[in-house]
Amino acid sequence: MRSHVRQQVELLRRQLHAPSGDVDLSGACVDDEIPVVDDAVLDARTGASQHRAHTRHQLSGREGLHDIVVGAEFQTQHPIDLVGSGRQQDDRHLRAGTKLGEKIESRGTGKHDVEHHQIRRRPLQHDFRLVGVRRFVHPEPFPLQVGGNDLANPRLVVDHQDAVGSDGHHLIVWRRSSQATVATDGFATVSVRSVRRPYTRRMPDPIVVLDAVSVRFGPTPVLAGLDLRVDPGTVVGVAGPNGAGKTTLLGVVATLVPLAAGRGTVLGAALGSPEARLVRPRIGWSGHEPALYDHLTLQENLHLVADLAGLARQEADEALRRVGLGAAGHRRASESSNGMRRRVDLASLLMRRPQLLLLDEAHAGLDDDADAIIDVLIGMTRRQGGAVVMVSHDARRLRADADVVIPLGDLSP
Amino acid sequence: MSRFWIQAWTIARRDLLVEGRSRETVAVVVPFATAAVFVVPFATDALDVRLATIAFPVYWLVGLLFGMQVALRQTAVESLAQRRQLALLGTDPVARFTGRVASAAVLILVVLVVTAPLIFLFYDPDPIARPWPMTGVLVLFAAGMAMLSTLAGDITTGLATRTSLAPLLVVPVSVPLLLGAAQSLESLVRGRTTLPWVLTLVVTDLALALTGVMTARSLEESNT
Amino acid sequence: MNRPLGRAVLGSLALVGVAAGLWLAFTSSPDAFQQDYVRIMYVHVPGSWLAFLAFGVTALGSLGWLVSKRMFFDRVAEASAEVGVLFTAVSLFTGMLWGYPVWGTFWDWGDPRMASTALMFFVYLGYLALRRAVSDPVARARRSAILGIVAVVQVPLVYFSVTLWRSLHQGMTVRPDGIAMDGSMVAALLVNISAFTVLYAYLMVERVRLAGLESETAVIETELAGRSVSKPNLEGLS
Repeated sequence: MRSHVRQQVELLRRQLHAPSGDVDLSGACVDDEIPVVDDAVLDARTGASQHRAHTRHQLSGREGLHDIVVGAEFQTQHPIDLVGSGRQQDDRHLRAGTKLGEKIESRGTGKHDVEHHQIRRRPLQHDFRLVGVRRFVHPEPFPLQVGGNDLANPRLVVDHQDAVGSDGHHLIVWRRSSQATVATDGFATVSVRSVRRPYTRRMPDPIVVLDAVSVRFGPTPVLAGLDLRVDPGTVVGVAGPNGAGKTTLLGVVATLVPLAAGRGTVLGAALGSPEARLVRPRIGWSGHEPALYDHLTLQENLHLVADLAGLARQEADEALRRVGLGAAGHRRASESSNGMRRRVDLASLLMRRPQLLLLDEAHAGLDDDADAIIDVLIGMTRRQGGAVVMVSHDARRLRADADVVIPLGDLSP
Repeated sequence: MSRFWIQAWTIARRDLLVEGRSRETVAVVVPFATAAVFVVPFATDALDVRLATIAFPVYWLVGLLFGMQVALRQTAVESLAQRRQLALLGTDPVARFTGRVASAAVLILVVLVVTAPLIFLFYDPDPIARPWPMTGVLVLFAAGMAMLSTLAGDITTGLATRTSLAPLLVVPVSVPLLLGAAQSLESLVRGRTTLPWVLTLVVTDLALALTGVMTARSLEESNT
Repeated sequence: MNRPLGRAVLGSLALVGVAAGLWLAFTSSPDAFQQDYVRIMYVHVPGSWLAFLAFGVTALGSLGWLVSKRMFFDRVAEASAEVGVLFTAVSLFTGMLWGYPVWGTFWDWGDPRMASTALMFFVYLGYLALRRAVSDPVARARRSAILGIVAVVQVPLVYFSVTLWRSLHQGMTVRPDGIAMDGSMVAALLVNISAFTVLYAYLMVERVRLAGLESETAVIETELAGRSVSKPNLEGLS
């Protein structure tokens, strides 16, 4: 690797081994052409880095052959697999006992190969470095993608889906080259999301649990004795006619509507407790009424959300482009169609990437393009171990998107 | 800590940006206040002496009533979806209160500053020697009215009778602010010390700030 | 105090107390200057005292609700506001009645207490108007409680600033304090204050109890709002 990349690696390694608490890995960028967005927060209590992180890098849009060097540096006590989606070839295993710093390069031919590496722990615990080569043909789908169906902006994420209790931070270093241009190096940090599978020690904590929940508005009961459980990685649809209390249910799950009776837990926080407000930034809501300020432009509205959420404004601009409003950002919200306003709402969710996504008649009044945005949001949330609760009067539509559709009336005794 | 101030600043900036686009204060409330100042003399015989006597009381009354109007203006009303979004973005309710009060105070100050020369024009009171202490009084008065009106607006969020109910809540308890400001001016004119009245304004502002901070969370719970 | 016997005892005490107070009011010695008009004081002063007491109880009820979220405190706050606005009105009205024959004017701007009491009357009106505007009991309790907190912080400031205002502008009319009171007058005054306080307590108990019954009956509606929506019947329509 080039020396300046090595320097950056060193810098990040020191950050990674911070004693405890939150580790802020944002803003590491080597190459201007490669915007790197990292956000990884270590969960110091459980020792498992359970937060999604991603890197984004833009390939130059040039077709051709690209070499990607994938590097990882970590400590682990368990075997881990580095896998991605796509076709797998198993003929690139590292031999057991790979030496430190040994670099593996392979140059295959033709279509993208996914490297499937297995590292076994050595008798003594060591830092060891794996460097592998991944190759793909642009604009084929990027082999390591987890989120992002946008071919122009593929996303590199390493997702240890089958990891068994692995934890730690992983440094991905890559180098890309093309036939015509000079090679550039980049790197990103990714924290491994150890999604606990059923065969591991613990069941995943549900994202939402409601236990005999009742809500009243004045003397009128709106929800009575309602039970609900939403597990990570699932999409739950709740169907019911208009006026049945679906929006109220979402309000309860969003920790915003107080309970008249019963208990509930959302994202680990008990409803009605002071912790409930702490999990709110991880909750996203999209309804038929977008929360836009009429007199501000679409871009200003999104910048407002970014500022309040502590995100960079460039992310807002990026999200605006993603939803297809890159050229319309200067229009005032009052002068924009409802479809455009809804897209801005969805853009703010793309930007915030909430862990719990609440959709209130979200597909109502949207065209196919905007529907696609919602589908992507649902997919992203699901894949990062979050959950989606959708309510709609359209049970057919729900069945297309949700893992399970429950009529609202069935949730109460 | 800095996140608090960033949020407060973002909210204040939002309000001022919306005001800049909608111009509800500048293009509607200020002309309304100006018209009111102009119209009052028609209820008297408009003899110069009588007008000079009521000049400053009319000024403070206009400041009180139209200051409330500014803080309770329609373009500053947040919809349910907007309030929900603020809550889910993790906005500190105290930061929101601070931001809204700051922007309201600035706009109230605009009303006060624009109306002042008109009082002198139409009512012809005796000019004030050394009026500079009044700048501080105006700021304190504007801040107090902003806090009180914002609190009243938050308490009456979403209620049908809000536009009359909120002023009803504000007016009786705004008397310390009114007295503080009006008596400061009167003391200045008569060459007496303004200290007790400025102190009244300061104490009232502090009490309102404390109340706003203490009740911000509860208000958020009732309004989302 | 929910037991009927307790309430009956309290009610009787109130009745006896008020009767005794009235009797003493009419039989105590008249003031040298004001003659019989001074007897209005026996209603006006207790009324004033209770106006402020009731206000304080409303504030305490508001605080109690915010801390514990128990509806009992909200009922206390509401009851005290309703009883309090009544006593405030009595105090203001008797004050005006007293003022006219004695000092020749219904309203005396020189009296900071009357001015503050009048402002407090408007605060009560605002509080009750707010309560009427909110239909959901919990939301009503919360908003009223917050208003109660705002008011209890502001009203002393009102009183203080109005007193300062009057004290800095000297030379006003004679105040009611200027009465020299002999033993019988003091006794009559004390009895009336106590009687009115007992009356306040009795009215509070009954009102809180009534509010509790109201909220119980309100919850009896158990049909879910959504169940009232059924499938439309479109047969025969083209």
